[in-house]
Amino acid sequence: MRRHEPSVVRADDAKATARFSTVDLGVRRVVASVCLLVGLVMCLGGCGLDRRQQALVSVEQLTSIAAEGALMADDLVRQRTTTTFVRVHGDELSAQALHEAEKLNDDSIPADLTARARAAIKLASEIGGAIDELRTSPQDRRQDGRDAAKLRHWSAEAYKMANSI
Amino acid sequence: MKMVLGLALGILAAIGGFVDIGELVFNTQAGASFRYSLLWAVVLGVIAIIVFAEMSGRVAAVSGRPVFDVVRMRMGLNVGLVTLAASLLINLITLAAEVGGAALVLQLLLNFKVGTMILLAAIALVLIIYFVPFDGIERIFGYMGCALLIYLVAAIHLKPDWHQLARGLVPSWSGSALYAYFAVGVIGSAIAPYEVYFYSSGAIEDRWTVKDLNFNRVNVTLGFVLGGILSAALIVVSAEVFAPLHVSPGYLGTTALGAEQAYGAIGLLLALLGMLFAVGGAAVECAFSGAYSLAQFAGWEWGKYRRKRDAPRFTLTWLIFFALALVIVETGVDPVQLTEYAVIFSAVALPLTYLPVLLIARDPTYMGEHVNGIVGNVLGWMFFVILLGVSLAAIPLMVITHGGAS
Amino acid sequence: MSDHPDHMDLAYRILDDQLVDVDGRRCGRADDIEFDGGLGEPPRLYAIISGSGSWHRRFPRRLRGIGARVFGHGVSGDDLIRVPWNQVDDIGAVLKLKAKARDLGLAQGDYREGERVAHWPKS
Repeated sequence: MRRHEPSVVRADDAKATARFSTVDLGVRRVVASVCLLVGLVMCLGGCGLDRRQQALVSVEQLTSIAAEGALMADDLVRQRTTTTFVRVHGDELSAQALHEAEKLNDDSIPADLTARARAAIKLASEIGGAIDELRTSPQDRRQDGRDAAKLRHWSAEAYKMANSI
Repeated sequence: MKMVLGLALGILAAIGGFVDIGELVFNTQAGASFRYSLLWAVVLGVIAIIVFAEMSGRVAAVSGRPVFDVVRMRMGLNVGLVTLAASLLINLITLAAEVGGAALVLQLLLNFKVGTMILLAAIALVLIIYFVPFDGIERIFGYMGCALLIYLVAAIHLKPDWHQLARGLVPSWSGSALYAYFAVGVIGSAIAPYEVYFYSSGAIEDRWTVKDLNFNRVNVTLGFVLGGILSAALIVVSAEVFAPLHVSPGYLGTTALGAEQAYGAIGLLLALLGMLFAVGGAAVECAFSGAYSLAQFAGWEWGKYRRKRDAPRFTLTWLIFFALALVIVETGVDPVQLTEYAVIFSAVALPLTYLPVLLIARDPTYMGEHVNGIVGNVLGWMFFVILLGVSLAAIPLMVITHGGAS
Repeated sequence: MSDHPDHMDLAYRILDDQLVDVDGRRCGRADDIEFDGGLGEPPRLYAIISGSGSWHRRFPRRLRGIGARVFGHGVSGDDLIRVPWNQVDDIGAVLKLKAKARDLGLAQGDYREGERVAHWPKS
C-alpha cells in the first residue's frame, strides 16, 4: 500500500476490498519441488552409459544401419525409390556407421569385449562401404542386389553380436 | 452447407497440422522398439489434448481470454513469469527442431547441402508468414500436410496383426524405463502446448462467442481424433517395417522409408511432401505461439490478422524467434535430438499452463453457465493428475535411459 | 469471492488484467495497484500501475535487485505508467479505459516500434 495525497476519486466509484493474496502457496511449492527434483535427478543420473552399454548400443546401431541399408538396396533393385533419397539417406547411414566404428575404436572397451569390438569395427567399415556403393552407382541393379544380400547378412551378424554382449 | 464445408476444411487442415516433428520422431521410434504396445499412449495423448483444447477454446469464447492471459491472471506475475520463460524456451527449441526438420526433408528431396537447406527453410517460412494472408497459410500447410495420410493407407496395406494392434490400445507396462520414456514421448508429442496456445489465440482473433461452443467441441474432437489416427499409423507402419529388422529409427529418412516399403517411390515422395508441410506448418504455429505468449503476458497488442505496424512487438517477436531458431540449427545440432528435448521439456512444463486454464474453465465468475460440468471437471482433474505424473517422470526417464539410448 | 455485490477482489479481478484503451487497443496490464488515504482513513483505490518497472516489487525479496536490473526500476513515465482509477471505464474480461493509450502514456513500446515497422513492406 502506498500513501498518496487524497485523490479526486468520485464518491460513486466502486468500493473495493483489498486482499493481496496473489498466487496460491501450493502452486509455488509444486513449482519449487519440480525444479528441485529435476536438479537432483540430473546430478544423480549425470553419468553416461557404462562402457559395456556403450559397446552394446554401438553394435545395435550397426544392426539397424545395415538393416536399413538392405531395405534401400532392395528398393533400388525393384526401382521403388529415388536416387536422391538413397544418396542423402545413405550418406547419413554411412556416416553413422563410421561414427560407431570410431566410438568402438576410441572408447575403452572391457577386456572381454575387445575381440568383438574389433569385429564390430570391421563390420562397420563393410556396412559403410556397401552403402557407399549404393550411393555411388544406384542404377547398377546387380550390384544393388549383392549389396542388399550382404547388408542383410551383416545386420544378422551384428544382431547376434549384440545379443552376446 | 457452408458451415459443414467450413468444418470439413478446418478438420482437413487440422489432420495435416496435427502431426509435427515430435510425432514423426517419437512415434516411429516407439513402433520400432515396442511394436503396437504404445498405441494406448497415442489415445491418452489425443484425449488429453482434446480436453485441454476444448477448455481453452471455451474459456476464450466465453471469457475472452486466451491461454497466456489466463496464466498471467490466475497464476500471478511470479509463477506466470516462470511459465512464460519455460514456454518461450520450449517454443524456441521446438521451432528450431521444426526448421531443422524441414531442412532435412528438403535435403532428402533435393540433395543440396543441409546448411543451405536450413537457410532456405527459415527464409521461406518467414517470407510466407510475412506476405501470405494467414488463411492461405493455414490451408496450404494443412491440406498439403494431408499427404501424410499415405501412412494411414500404408498401415492398412502392410496387413498388421489387428489382434495385437487392439491389445496395444490397452495400457500396459513392460517394466522397462525405456518403455516409460517412450510412453512419455508419445504422450508429450500429442499434447504439444504450442498448438493449444495457438488454438485459443485464434479463437479470440476469430471473435468466438458462446454461439461457437458447439463448433469448438466438434472441431477439437474430430480434428484431434483424426490427427491421432494418423499419428497412430506412424507407430503401426514402424512396427510392421522396422521392428522385425531391429531398426532403430534416428532419422527422418527412416520414417520416410516406412512409407516407401508399402508404396515404393510414390509412397516415399508423398511421405516427404507431407512431412515438409506438416513440419513447416508446425513451425508457423510455433513461432506465432511464442509471439502470442509473450505479447499476451506483457499486455502488448497482438494478432496474426493485425497490420504489422499495429502489432509491431508481436511481429518483431516471431521474427526474432525465427532468427534465434536459425542460429540454433546452424550450429549443427541434430534436429531429431532437438525434437526429443523439445517434447520432453514440453511435457515437463505442460501442467503450468494446463492448470490455470482448468481453474478458469471451472470458475463460474468467468464462465457463467458454461463452466465445466461434472464430466468436464472429472476429465479435467484426471488429466491434470496424469499430466503431472508425466511431467515429473519425463526428465528422470530421459536421464536414466540416456535419451532413449538404453 | 465476496458475498457483497458491490465488493470486488482486487487481486483476482483487477491485478494482472489486460488494459484496453477507448479505441480497443491493447496497451499493457495492471501490473500493480495504488491506494491513497491518510492515517486512520479508509484506503481508496487511486491508480493502476502499468509497466515492467513495477514487477520487481512483486518478486521474492532476494530477486528484487536482479528483477529491477532486468525489467526496470520503475522510473515513472518510462517503465512505469500511472493510470488514474477514474480513467477506468469498465471492468470485464479486460479493463477498458476512457482515453487513448497514447494520451495516458501507455503502449509506448508499440508506438515506438510501430513507427519503425511502418517503413517495412506490407506493414
